Parts: sequence; C-alpha cells; structure tokens
Amino acid sequence: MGIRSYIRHLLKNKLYGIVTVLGFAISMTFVLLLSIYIQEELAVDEFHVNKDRIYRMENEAVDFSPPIAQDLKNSIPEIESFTRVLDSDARISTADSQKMKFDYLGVDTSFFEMFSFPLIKGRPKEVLQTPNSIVLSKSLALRLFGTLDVVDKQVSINTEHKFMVTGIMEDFPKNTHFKAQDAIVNFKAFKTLWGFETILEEYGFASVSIYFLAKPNTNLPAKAPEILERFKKDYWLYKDGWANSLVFTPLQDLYFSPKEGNGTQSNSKTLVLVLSIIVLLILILAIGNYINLTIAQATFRGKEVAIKKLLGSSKGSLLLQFVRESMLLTGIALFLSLFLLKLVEPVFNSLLNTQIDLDAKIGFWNLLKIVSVFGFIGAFSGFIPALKISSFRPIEVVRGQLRKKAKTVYGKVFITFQYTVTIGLLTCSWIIVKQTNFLRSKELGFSKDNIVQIEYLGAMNEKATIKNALLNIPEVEHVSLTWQSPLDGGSNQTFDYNGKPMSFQEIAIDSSFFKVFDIKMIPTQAAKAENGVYLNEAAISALEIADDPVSFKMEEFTVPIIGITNNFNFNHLRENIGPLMLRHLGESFYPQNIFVRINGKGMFKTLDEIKSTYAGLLDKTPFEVRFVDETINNWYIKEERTGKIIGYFTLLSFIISVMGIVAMSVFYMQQRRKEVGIRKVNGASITQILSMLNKDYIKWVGVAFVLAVPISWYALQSWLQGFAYKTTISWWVFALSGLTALCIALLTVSWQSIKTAAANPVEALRDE
Amino acid sequence: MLLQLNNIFKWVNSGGQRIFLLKDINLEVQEGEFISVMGPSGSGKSTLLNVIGMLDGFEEGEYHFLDESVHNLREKHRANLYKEYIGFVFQQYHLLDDLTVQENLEMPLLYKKLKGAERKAKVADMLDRFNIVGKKDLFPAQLSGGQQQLVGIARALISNPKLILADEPTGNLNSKQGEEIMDLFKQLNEEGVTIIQVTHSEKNAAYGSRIINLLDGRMI
Repeated sequence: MGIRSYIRHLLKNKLYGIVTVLGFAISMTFVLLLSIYIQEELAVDEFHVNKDRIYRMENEAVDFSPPIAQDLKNSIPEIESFTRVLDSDARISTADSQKMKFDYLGVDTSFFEMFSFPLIKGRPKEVLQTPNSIVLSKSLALRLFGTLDVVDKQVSINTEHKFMVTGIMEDFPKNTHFKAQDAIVNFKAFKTLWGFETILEEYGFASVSIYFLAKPNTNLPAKAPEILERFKKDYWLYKDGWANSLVFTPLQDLYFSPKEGNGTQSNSKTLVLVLSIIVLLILILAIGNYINLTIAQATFRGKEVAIKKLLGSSKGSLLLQFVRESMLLTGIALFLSLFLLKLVEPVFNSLLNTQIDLDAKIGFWNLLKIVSVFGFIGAFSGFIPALKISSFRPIEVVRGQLRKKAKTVYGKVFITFQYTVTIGLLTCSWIIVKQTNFLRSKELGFSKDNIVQIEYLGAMNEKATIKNALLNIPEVEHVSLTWQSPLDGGSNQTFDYNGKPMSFQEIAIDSSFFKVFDIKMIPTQAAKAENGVYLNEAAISALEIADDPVSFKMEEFTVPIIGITNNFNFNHLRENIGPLMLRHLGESFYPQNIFVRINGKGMFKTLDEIKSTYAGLLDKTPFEVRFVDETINNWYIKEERTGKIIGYFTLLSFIISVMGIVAMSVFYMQQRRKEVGIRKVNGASITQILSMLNKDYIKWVGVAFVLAVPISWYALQSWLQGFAYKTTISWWVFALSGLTALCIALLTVSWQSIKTAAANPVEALRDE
Repeated sequence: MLLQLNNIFKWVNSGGQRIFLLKDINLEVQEGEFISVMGPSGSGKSTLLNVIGMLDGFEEGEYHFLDESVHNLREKHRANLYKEYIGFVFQQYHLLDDLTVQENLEMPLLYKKLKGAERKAKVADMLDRFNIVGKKDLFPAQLSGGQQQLVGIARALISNPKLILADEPTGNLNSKQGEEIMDLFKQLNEEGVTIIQVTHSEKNAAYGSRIINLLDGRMI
C-alpha cells in the first residue's frame, strides 16, 4: 500500500519525478560509460601471459641497432629471449588478387611465444621459423583469399618477393600498445624486402625497437646501469652522444609512454587522469543532487509523516518507507541508465575513437557492482531525509515549523561546488576549441589550398611520364614530386658539423616544389649544382653562416647552398620550426608523393580527371588522393576530440547543476514563502522580491566563479605547454563562462522565484 | 468617507460547486472609526479583512477606497494604494525572524524608497513612542508575545497609514498583554487612525465604535 501511495505522489509531482530520475539516470550513464572506458584503458596489454616479464629497452627514444639484441642476450643471463620489432608497409597480392597496401611488422621468431596474440592457424613456435614465412591477420586473409584456409599458400610483397603463409592470427585487439597490423614477417625478411643484406649485423642502423622477455624471478631493469656503462664505452649511439640513458620499461607502461616505438599506439595518461577526475566529480554531483532533490521533496511530505506518526506509526517503519520509496526511484533510474548506455554506446565510441563492447563488459559481476552502487545511493538518499523528518515532533511538522529547521548550509556549499565545476569545464572546453582553431588558421608559411597529394606508385623511370601526364590536365597548374613532404616533418639527417652533432630534417624536391606550395625562396650566389641544397632560415642560423651562406661542410663533403627559404612549417604545430634541408630529387631518388596544384575551378571534376589519368598509368594498384588542407586539419583531430569530450561534459554538468538549482530553489523558496508574504504585505513589489530571492544565487555563482578561475587557468596553462604555438587564455573567455553560468542559474532559479514572488501573500501567511 | 464596499461577492469553485466566502457585503467606513468584525470560525472575517486590505480580490461588486475604484485598478496601482494607506497587524505577529526589531521596523520604509536618514529618524521615532528603544537590537525570538505584537503594530504604523487592519491581534496573548494592546489601539484611534479588527472576544469588540457580525459570509 505504501508503494502505491508513493507512485500516486510521484504522478502528482511529475516534474520532480522526471527531473530526479532522468537527471540521475543521465549522469550515471556517463559515469558508467567513462568508468568502463577508463577500466579498459588501464587494462591495456593485461592479456599477455608474460606481461610481468616483458620489457622494452628505451633510450631517449626507443631506437637501437639490430645486433644489440643478440649481444645482450649473449651477455646478460637474466634475458630469456628477445624480439626486435620494425614496422613497415608495402603492397601485397596473391596470384589472382589486386595489389593491396598493408602494414606489417618484422619480428623475431619468439614474437608469438612472448606476446599472447592468439593464432587461428599455426603454432606460435613454428610460424616465423623461415625468412619467407608470413602470418596474416584474419581480416587481411579474408580480403586476399576470402577464406582462412590459406596455410602454405603463396603471397607476393611488392610483386617480386614471394612469401609463404604459415599462420593466421586474430586481428590485434584495441587493448594493446601495438597498432593493428595486417601481417607479421620474420625480421630477416628485410634482407630481401629492403635489399638490406646486412641488417642483422648493421650497428649503424639504429631504428628498431627491442623487447626482452626476462627469466622468471629476475630483475632485468636493475641491469640497466651496467648496460648503460658498457654502451657508453663501445656503442656509437652512446659514444657520440646521440643517446644518454637506458631503461627497461615494463610492458604495461608502454601504452602510456610518450615515446613512439615501431608500430605502437599510445594514449595520454593525463587524458585518462582528467577523465577519471571528471567521472568522480560527476558521480559526486549526481549523487549529491539526487539526495538534495529527494530531501527537498521529502520536506514537503512532512505533513504526511506527521499524520502517520500521530496515528501511531513507529520511527522504524517510517524510515523503512522512505528507504523503500527511494530504492524504487533509483531502480527506475538504473533501468533507464542501462537503456541509455546502450543507446549512446556507438556515439561514445565514435567520439573517443574506442571500441567499447558493452555486452562483453556488462557481465554478472559488473552488473552486480552497478546494482549495488545504485542500491546504496537509493538507500542512502532515502535514509538521510527520512532520518531528518521522522525525528521531528509531529506537532512541529503540523505547525509548519519543519521548513525552518530543515534549512541547511550544505545545500549552498553544494551549489557553489557544482558551479565551480561547470564554469571550470566551460572555460576549458572554450579554450581548447580556441586553441584548435588557432592552430588550424595559423599561417603555415606555405599555401595549403588547392593542392592534391597522391602517393607515387610508378616505377623509377616513369617520373617524367607521370608528371607530364598530370600537367596535361588543363586545371592542373604545377606538379611536384617529392620524397618526404612538408606534411610529415621530413626525414631526420644527423651529421657532425665542426665537432658538434647537428640535426636537420630533410625533404627531397624537384624544381616545381616552390611553385606548388607557394614558398618564398631566395637564390644565393652559389651556382646551381646537382648536389646543391636549399636551407630554411633556421638551418642557416643553426650553422652560423648568415654572413656568407653559399656552402657548408657536412662531414667530409662541401655542400653548396643554392637558396634560402622562409621558415615555413613542415610539421604539426606542436613543434617549433627546426632546421630544414631541401635537397634535389635526383635520378636515383624514388619519390613518395606527387603534389598537384590545381586552379580550383570545378574541383571535383579536376579530381576525377587526375584520378583517371593516374590510374591509367598504373597497373591495378589502388592509390589514395587527399587534399593537403584536409590533411592539415586532421593533425588537430586529437585536440578536437579532447575539446568535444570536455564539451559534452560541460553540457552534462550544466544539466546536473540546473537540476541542482531547481532542487535547491524549490526547497529554498518554500522556506522563504512566509518571509516573502510578510514583505509583500509591507509593500514590497514583485520585482523587489525577485531580486532579493535571486541575489543569493548570484552570490553563490560568484563564489564559484572566483574558485573556478585559478583552477581552470592553471589546468589550461599546463595543457598549452605541450604546444609550440599557443592561443592566449583571454580574460573574456572566463568572463563569458561566468556570465553563461550566471544566466543559466538565474533562468532556472527565476522559474521558482517568480512563482514565489507572485504568490498571494494571504495564502503564505495563512499556512503558517 | 474612507472606504465603501458595494455588493461584494467572493467565491471559490470546489467540486463543481460554488462556495461563497463573502455574500453581498455592503459596508461604509468613515475616517476615525474603530470597527470590530465578529463571527464564528469560517464565517469570512479574515477574508473580509483581506479584501479590504486589497491582499485578496473578489468576484463581484465595487470597492471604493478614498477616491479610487479599487475593483478597476491594476495590480501595481492597488499595491501602491495599500502601501500608502494601510497597515496590517497579525495574530502571529509575522515579524521576520532573521531581522532585529529595528530592522523589522525599517522594512516597509525600504519599499517606499525613503532615504537612509529619513528611515532612521522614523524608526527612532517609533521605538521611542512605543518605549522599546532598549529592545531595538533584539531578535523577535528574544521578545515576549506582547512585545512582539507591539513591534508588529509599530511596523504597521511606521508609514503613517490611514487604516489599520488587525486580524485577531490579541489571539496569541494572555489577557493582560491583550488588554495593553487593546488600550494601544484605542489610543491610536483617538489620535485619528481608522481601525478594523477581527476578534472573537466580546470584550475586545467593545473597544470599537461599531460591531459587524458575519455568518457564512453574510453580514447580519
């Protein structure tokens, strides 16, 4: 009977019911979703059986020479096995399939024994035994053959290299620090694939990641100082000062490592930390709000309680009634939030670029956890107001003195806290958007519009043919072939310059490059020569030859400088512009890119024409065509995503705080009805009453603003540290955030206060 | 003539039926009168007082206050009218608990937009007149019921109203305190303030110059 009368009560107070249940359900949906995400992020690489024994060797980066791995295995007894990892991409085909671009790793034979990536076909020990064996991912096997029954079948890499399929692996899961790969080959395969016969012995090639499996119950990381000493004596990388440190990083830290290895992906630990804090804040806000609303509502039911008490109900049974009702409400919220969870899952996945699989996560234990959290909140939020109400003497409740007594400070503190969070989040998302826009609209030093980038896939001797064919399209203005490009940062070139190590980025270009990208170049006095280079201003100042920039010594060669360019950006704007060397794309240089400047008239038609012309010159190989400005926009996708996430949470926190204010204002206005009545009888106008009632809320938002400004300023300051080019943290962003929060607070509170201010004072006074 | 009620009807609809709170009230009040409204519980005494005080409306009839036709006035205008001419005294005193005696007295003046100095002077005047200067910084809860009602009356008087409406002003007081309050009303009336009080007590009603009896919303 109790429950039925409660449902009747809810139906009568629809607004209260909807606000409470829906608000709580929405917040809990977010909390659940994010908790699952955080849980997954923290569990990356946990599935490896050997997870506690695998280490990656790292210096300032993670790059070592291939023979180092075997050297260490021979001399350090703690090492059980190792695998070198080197990532690359190429084109793969079968006898009767098209060529397809694919990403692969070259690894040592122990790879599948060390890591627990499941094999569908083949045994971990056997699949990589020979240099021409290849393990395909399930999806690549299906793409190539349409079936998984492909062991012992032959595939070709770049047409001429034949490999034998020895196994099929499941596609790498998301929760590993390795990027998804299409295939795994034996490290020795690079001998033929790259024509690099000496790769296994070449100390001079320092670009592979090395993983070690330590013997059980040993402490490999403790060996690092000893190895470092040795390296400093006899490994050029250390002797010449390219590297100075050495650590063994445990497998499970790799995902959060800022060092990018071969074929790895990472996440920022800060982002996960920030999300965890946000989850916690939202959880506190949601629970607090829910309790607040319930208490506010419960005080209105004081009369019911009083009458029940007068009629002989015990305190215990009243407590039970309140707890039961509150549990019913949280129960509804629970179902609603599970439903919402399912609903927003795809949105969330596309937003965070994750693959949360809810069905896998909502197992029995997780469900039990969720239910108990909800149960606890339900019981708690029923118990607190019940305790309060049921301990009043009935006569006080009947006389209406309850409201006065139920006045609390904590409600105000809570509102202030909520608004601090809201204003802080709003400011942060605003600045993040501002920074992203700033980066996107930053003057790059080159023109990025109307340039199409195509991969160069022709043969070595087809360079001129392809270029001329493209130039024949009327809408095409210039065509440039390059090795590396201003979009990928160039290739690093380090050399000894007057006894100092000097690090340049290098791009190889043909003569049309400056026209395609509209880069300012001033020729020097030096005569044009095949080995002549263009340097940017940063390089000139790094070489300290500003007075006479005609040539410089690169190790034993004298290199003529035939032109100087402005400091245009050739990398993501997180980085500063460093020294850049543009060398001539000679006969023997295989270009990677074709950049085509078009005149922008009938863009799509031109693009189609470029595609068909190019396809006609290639044999079947699929290729990608991209606009340069789009590529540049995509550089900031991570920032945009962070901004979006924080933006959504800002919205959520607004919803929650609006609910909080609704709850508090209902509660608060109820307390002040009598006062309002008296003031009105004594001549106060509605406007005067309204400003009096709203003043307090303005005060709380004001306090929240004062608290939120330094916190968010500090957070943003540290976030912007990561960028070479920073937007300003303008004062008006803070002001507008505060103002927005204030407006929303006032709108919400006015909804209640107008009602109170306009009420007939006679009624307020008669009730007392 | 201070005010005139002609054929005032007030009703509410409840369960499809029209329940009359006031029925055909005709009343004329001259300046300087002291009227007592009497009648059993639910007879409409307080409702009548609220209608006269312009806190409550009515469904039919005419109400003239001084030269104004209250039934034709807009809300804002009506509020100005009662702010200017009418003071209220309540059975439960209705002082604001969070304000001191002094601040309670000052409150109506705030809404008349008086200057600070002017307000101070009027409050001091009133404290003096009611002999409560010593209590000016106390809160209502620190005063006896009689003292609280004294403050209530002082507050009603502070803006020099022509009419005081008192709803059972002695209802919560013991007989001695009640007598003091009634003597005060009598004195105020002699000084020229018109008073309409609602009361249950024959004795208190006798202070007035005229008694109106109500039964089921009708004057008898």
